[in-house]
Amino acid sequence: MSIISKIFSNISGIVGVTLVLIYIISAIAAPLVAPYNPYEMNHINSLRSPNSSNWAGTDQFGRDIFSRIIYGARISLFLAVTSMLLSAVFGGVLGAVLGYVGGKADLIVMRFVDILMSFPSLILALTLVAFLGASLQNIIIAIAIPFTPVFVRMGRSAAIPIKEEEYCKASKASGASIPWIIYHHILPNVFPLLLTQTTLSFSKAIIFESSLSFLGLGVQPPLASWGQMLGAGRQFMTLAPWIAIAPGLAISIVVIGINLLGDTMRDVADPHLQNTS
Amino acid sequence: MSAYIIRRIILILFALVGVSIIISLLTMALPADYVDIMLGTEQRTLTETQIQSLRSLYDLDDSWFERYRRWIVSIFQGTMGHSLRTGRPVSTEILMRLPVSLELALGATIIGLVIGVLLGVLSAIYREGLSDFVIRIFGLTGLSIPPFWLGLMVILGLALFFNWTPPRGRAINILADPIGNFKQFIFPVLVLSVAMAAALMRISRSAMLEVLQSDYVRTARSKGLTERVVLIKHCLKNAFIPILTLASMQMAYLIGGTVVIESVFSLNGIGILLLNAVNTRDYALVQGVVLVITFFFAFINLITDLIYGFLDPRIRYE
Amino acid sequence: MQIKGLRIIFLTLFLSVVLTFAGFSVNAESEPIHGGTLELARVDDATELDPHTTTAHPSRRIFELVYSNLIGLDADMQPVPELAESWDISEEGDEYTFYLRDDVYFHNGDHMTSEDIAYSIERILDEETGAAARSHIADIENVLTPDDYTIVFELKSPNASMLLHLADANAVIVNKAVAEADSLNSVENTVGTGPFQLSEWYPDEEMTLIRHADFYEEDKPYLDEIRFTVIPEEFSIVAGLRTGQTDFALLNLPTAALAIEEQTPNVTLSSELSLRWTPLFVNTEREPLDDIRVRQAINYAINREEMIASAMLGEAEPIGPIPSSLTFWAYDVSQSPFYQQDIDRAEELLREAGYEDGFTISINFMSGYEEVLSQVQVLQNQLEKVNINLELNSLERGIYIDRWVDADFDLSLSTNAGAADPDFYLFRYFHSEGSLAFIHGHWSNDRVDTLLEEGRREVDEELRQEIYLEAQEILIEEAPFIWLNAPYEYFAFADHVKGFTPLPTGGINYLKDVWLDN
Repeated sequence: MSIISKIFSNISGIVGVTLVLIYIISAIAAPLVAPYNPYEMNHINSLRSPNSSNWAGTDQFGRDIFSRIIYGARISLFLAVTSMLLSAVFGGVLGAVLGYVGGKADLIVMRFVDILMSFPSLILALTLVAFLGASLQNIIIAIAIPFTPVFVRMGRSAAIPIKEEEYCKASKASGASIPWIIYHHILPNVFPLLLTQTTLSFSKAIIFESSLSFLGLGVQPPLASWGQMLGAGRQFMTLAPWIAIAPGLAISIVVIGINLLGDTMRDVADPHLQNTS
Repeated sequence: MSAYIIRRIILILFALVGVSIIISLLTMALPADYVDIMLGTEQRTLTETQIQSLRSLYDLDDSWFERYRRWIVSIFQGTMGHSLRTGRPVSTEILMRLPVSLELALGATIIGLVIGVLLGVLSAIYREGLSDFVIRIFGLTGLSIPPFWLGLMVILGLALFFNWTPPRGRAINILADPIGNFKQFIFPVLVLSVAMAAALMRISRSAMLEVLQSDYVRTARSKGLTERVVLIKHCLKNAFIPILTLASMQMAYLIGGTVVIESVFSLNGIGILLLNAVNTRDYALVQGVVLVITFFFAFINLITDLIYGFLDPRIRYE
Repeated sequence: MQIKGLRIIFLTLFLSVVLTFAGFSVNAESEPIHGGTLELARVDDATELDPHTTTAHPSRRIFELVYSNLIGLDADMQPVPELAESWDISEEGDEYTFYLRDDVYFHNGDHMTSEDIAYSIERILDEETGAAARSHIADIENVLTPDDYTIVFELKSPNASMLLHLADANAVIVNKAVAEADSLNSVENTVGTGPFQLSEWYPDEEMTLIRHADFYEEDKPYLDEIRFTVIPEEFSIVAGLRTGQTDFALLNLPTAALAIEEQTPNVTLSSELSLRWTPLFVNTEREPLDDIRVRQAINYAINREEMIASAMLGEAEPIGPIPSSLTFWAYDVSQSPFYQQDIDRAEELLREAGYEDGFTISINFMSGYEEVLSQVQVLQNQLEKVNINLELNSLERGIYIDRWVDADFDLSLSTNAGAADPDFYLFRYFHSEGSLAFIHGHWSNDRVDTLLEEGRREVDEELRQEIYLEAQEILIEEAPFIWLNAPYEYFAFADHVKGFTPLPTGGINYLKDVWLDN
């Protein structure tokens, strides 16, 4: 590894960490950071383009968009993190185990996963939310369920070739238990792919929630998630583009930050890469 | 090998039956039926007799079992039941919409694969270089743009700057009018392929990095093989498994999952068909569409698994 | 050209006579030209095709063009001849005699006679049909056909709204031979006498209507073809109008309307104050809404102007029980104290009712409608100021309907279909025998019962107006509903589309007068 690439590696990491930190801090310290009450309607101020007092403009109700972005960070962070953790941990581990164990259990469970996966995810989530009611916790479940099969398959397909590797076979021959092998050989190898997939899915989760929102079954006002703000800004695209640009930018920046961080973490976590560098 | 395929096909059939029972029960469990939704809030202005005769007109009085049985029988008759709304066979409805979904999914997958893998490999080879950084940022941006947003922007942009909108209305048959079809599909396909390419770029980058560091590539290199041979023969082939997994999953997902883009570009694939069918509780149609989507899913997965074995002989079909 | 103000012009009898009988219209400077295809875009497609059972608006738009009624309505919602050239109403108001045109042909070439009319009315009245219009014309007891071109309805009791109900898109005249033989829910069996004939339908994609050559109004229609294209995103429709792909569009969103007005110079927007109406349905059986003081407090807490300005971008009008588009019947809400926001009064009423610390109630609404979501958000914000915590329940369509027909809600908000008839907005909801009286939990008022019964029978318009104004005053004070506003009907069309007359029903009947000036 050259010196330049090391610097770039560090820069990616630093940029990633910084963006994610800003995100997390503004989510936690929202009341301190936000200049206005995000839920306060001020009808005289409606549809102001970005200016010195409303940095990101105002929406149709005169609410300060910048403040709503800051508060929305909380909801979006919570939604995306919880739903992705739920599906990545459950799905990834299940997939790794299935991939290693194989056999009938693998076949049967994978058919169920196929069934779940073959359901168009947006319609599955919509039906679930319609059925359960649009509370925050139900929305998390509705986002997590359609995302789980991806992790199962990912974990499984990554585990299959690994189990044929010499070191894995050697452990098995030397009498190691299945959980031991999964924990020590399979999971560490599956982890980098899962991490990439999680960071991929994280942004999808936010976008997914915005799709739910624009079909009307996302987070309910007055709570505001970025996805919901983006969905609501859609009809103002030509009249007041800033309404959707701000949450769109916020999503992009955070997604980039999380992914850069994810890449750096992947490099650190990957045993092969450590050997070579 | 052929025993394996036969076993998989039997499993697919089981999955289809499972799906059809689950979806049938699920739609039945949703509050309100077709007549409720058709009458809406005017329902109570009709007399009991009126509502009853409408219900029996649509065969909504039968038990779940009776309806399900009838539906299964109709599958063997080739109709998959009749849509309550149009009165036409569900199979006809699906066959009309399927080409749209297949074209969107296939088009987006192909373009996404080409762009995504190319960028991914480039960025892995020039790891941590400037081009890697640029490609990765591009990929991340691609991932963070909601497709409906991008779609609307494209439509607006085309109207604003080129004074042109893609043809709307009925889907143009690719064989009858390839140019018209191209005009209608190219932008929705491109919009769909952005997220696809971004995802594939990231996964192929990590897969390539993984392979580039592995023992056999180092062995190949130490044997003095040229970099290009190493790349193509050893790396790509091995990196292809996760890429293929993701690409096939994405494609299978796209067959029923393009609702938002279908809506923005007013192309009617089976995604919108299903959404409308669920919204109006058109039971046979819901069951039929889900069954078809499930079939494609299982089918694509089977093909993918077979390709795994072809690419990597270490995988055995047990 | 701004059409909003033109409504006032329409109000003059002179113009409306000229408009209807001479086929003269809004911006006709030259002679109409025959031919051409009108590309029409809208967000949703027809659901089904049986005109008597299908109440969905997108389907009604088709019935308006494909079928005809006994009588039609002009832009002021006044009856005009359609299949009937003229009619007599007996002095007691219980017998209607219609004299039919003798030159009316169905799309399949069949000659239309009083038999078809009698059959259509009986089909609607037959409970087995499940016709939506049945409850409106159920006063018809006997249908007589003295000859081929005369038809007589004998009523159980006089009904002042009968003519308006006969002009409804769900009370159209179907072909007896076709309807007796088969279901009307198919393209082939959509056989009407209207200006256009249904030729092709690809559900959710497009529908093609072609010119009916034997249409009874001479020379009309001018268009050869109308192509209905379904474009689910309104912005996508606006883009199509801008590029000239679409000639004519039916729009719903205030934002889309503004985008056309402000940013699409080659397109005319016509906004017609709608007959649709947005109330707050109140469940008067549930605590604390069973207390009239609480309902009045909510009325005082709401600022309708503010709500319209921000949630509807100014594109709506505050209304009483009868929407202001029915100018003659509507109560002037600017006179009512309940329509002036008064937080102090609201707090006082809540204190009297024992809710000085406020309470929490929920509101049901249908998901997927941006303008509804905007309104409930403003409502939530306004009620918060008097310590009423409003929980939002966004519900999937079917679930919303399911709860609605069981009156399972505290508050419920939706924009509802209207009619040109004052009785439509009152009797079925507020008469204690009304078919929809369940929706507010059977609130009732003897005086209102009497008034609504009188209003139905009263043939004298001035007296009838007084009756309805009094009823509305009581209703506003008692607040079994809390009326909010009425939106606009938007028709957007390219400059070369000439001769269109918009209707507050959102109807497109007058596409028969439209021609293309290319």
